[in-house]
Amino acid sequence: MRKILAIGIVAILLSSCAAQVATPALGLLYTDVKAPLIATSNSGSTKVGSAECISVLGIVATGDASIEAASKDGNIKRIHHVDYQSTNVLGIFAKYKVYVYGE
Amino acid sequence: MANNSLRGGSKILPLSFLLFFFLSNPLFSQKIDKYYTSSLQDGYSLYYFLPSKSMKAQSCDCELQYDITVISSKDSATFNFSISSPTVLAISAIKIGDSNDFFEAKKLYIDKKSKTWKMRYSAMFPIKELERYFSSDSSTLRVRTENSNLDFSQKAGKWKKYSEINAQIFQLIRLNMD
Repeated sequence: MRKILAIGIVAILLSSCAAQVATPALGLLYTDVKAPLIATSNSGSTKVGSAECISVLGIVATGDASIEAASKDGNIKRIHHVDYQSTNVLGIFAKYKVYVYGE
Repeated sequence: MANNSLRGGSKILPLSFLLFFFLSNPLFSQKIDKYYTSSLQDGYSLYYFLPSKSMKAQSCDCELQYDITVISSKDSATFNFSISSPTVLAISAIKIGDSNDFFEAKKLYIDKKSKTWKMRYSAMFPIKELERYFSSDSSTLRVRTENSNLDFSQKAGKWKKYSEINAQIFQLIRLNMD
């Protein structure tokens, strides 16, 4: 029984079932990367809002990481630029976070 | 032999979780860059303190999370906070730490997900007030509702680490201002 469990866990970690989020650079053990998503021609930022979604083992994924959710969070009406941050630990836990800058 | 390899296999899971804990818990290593973002703007810098861990109220099944936005050219910072609660709360003001003054809270939006209401509000605090809060021992945030005051707090150990990190971020902001 233990052996089956261990094989199952290894299989989850190594297969596409592992928790994954979009990232420009992937680390097998650990990923923590920030990158740009969009930039607009609007000038200046005085507000920031964030939103996130998570994935656990690639089995459960939940959250709202939309630009709309992040804008609402920061009370932003005019977007200046949007960055995102992806985090992944051993394919067990993954997080995708969006940061919206604007006014 | 087979038993030994089986025993080794059974250690993978706890070791994985231990590694996960250390890697995913920047609080442990006190890396402050995990707790804020900064953006260079025309004539000022914008600092964003990432959302805090949830703070709980003793008197109700409510949780509070906050984030802070600092503009380097201004003396006050935006303190946005979300409260999750089974009932809708009409919030009018918020007070931090041992301070005597309440600051007006402006409603941003109210949402409902499943059985929980999420209320998001915004307040403006003088930066000095926030610096004082993060250098104090009291994590308590007092929220004024139409019926009563709600106190949200964190465990002392967690607060000590978290407040030190935020104090360091404020120090960094000050150093970049000069």
